[in-house]
Amino acid sequence: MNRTGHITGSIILAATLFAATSAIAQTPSWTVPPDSARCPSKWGAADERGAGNLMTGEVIELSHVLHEGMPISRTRRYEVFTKRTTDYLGTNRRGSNEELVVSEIGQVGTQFDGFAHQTHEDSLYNCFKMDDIATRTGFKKLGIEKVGALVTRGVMIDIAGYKGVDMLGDTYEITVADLEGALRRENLTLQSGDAVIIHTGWGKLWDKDNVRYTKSNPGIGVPAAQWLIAKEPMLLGSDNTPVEVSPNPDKLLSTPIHQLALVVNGVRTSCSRRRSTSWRSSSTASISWST
Amino acid sequence: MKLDELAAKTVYEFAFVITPLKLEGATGSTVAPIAIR
Repeated sequence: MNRTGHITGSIILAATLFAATSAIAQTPSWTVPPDSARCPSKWGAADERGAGNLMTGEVIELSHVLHEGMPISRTRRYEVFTKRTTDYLGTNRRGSNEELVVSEIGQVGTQFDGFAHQTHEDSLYNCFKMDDIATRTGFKKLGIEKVGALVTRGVMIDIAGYKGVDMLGDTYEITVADLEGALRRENLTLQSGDAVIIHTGWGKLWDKDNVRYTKSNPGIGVPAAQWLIAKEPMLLGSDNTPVEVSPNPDKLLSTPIHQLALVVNGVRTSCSRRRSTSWRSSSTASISWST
Repeated sequence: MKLDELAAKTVYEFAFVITPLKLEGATGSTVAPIAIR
């Protein structure tokens, strides 16, 4: 074959190979099975949990669902903006959804207070000072990322159960005698490092009567808080907004146990938060809140 | 927290797990704590 014929033959061969390759590239390596092959789910037509259904053992969830319309402070927000897929991508026609959440996300719903949340004037836990640690994009010290995962013995002190009621009164202050009596009834003793969770029954109002839920609540007073803190809990929690009784019977005080716990003693708190709090008195105990 | 199930089942002692989100410099975190029996 002369040179031209050789080149022509090579071009034809290359074109043939390219066409063959392109034809192969048009066939995807995987396709999504038809609806009939994947629906209904092996866990049932109404199932929304998927492989989560494989979990065994008893786990009791202690958090409320976050949603617009849950009890929340009038100074805060929880807004969800769903961003639906704009396109189906690939031969597998994949869509992708997400959402933008606008909220004081550390302080709404079932939440956990860190030490940066509360002060006595400009002083925080371990006497860190606001001007030294606060920036416009977060606290340089005492941030919640410093806490880490907490796993410990949990003790629920059921004050409502001890008193034989569904729910304690709107401004009932839980006393040391209440705590001792309830623990005796449960045949339990508090140990250092416990997560101490107090059942007031007030949580029944969540999403049922949000106005009443947030207006006031039963909870521990200063003497009960001091008694608990002396037992060295890892954290305190309750089924109300601020864990402590609100308003405090001493009208001069502003949510004192938050200070007692967080600022003074280094104990965090977890509640079902609705209300923002302001601080005035100080004490040297720290509490972790879980609301 | 949501304590109605613990109260209804009279569960007073349990393993408690709480894992605050790693929100750098934040004052708190939304959490979904659990009681394990």
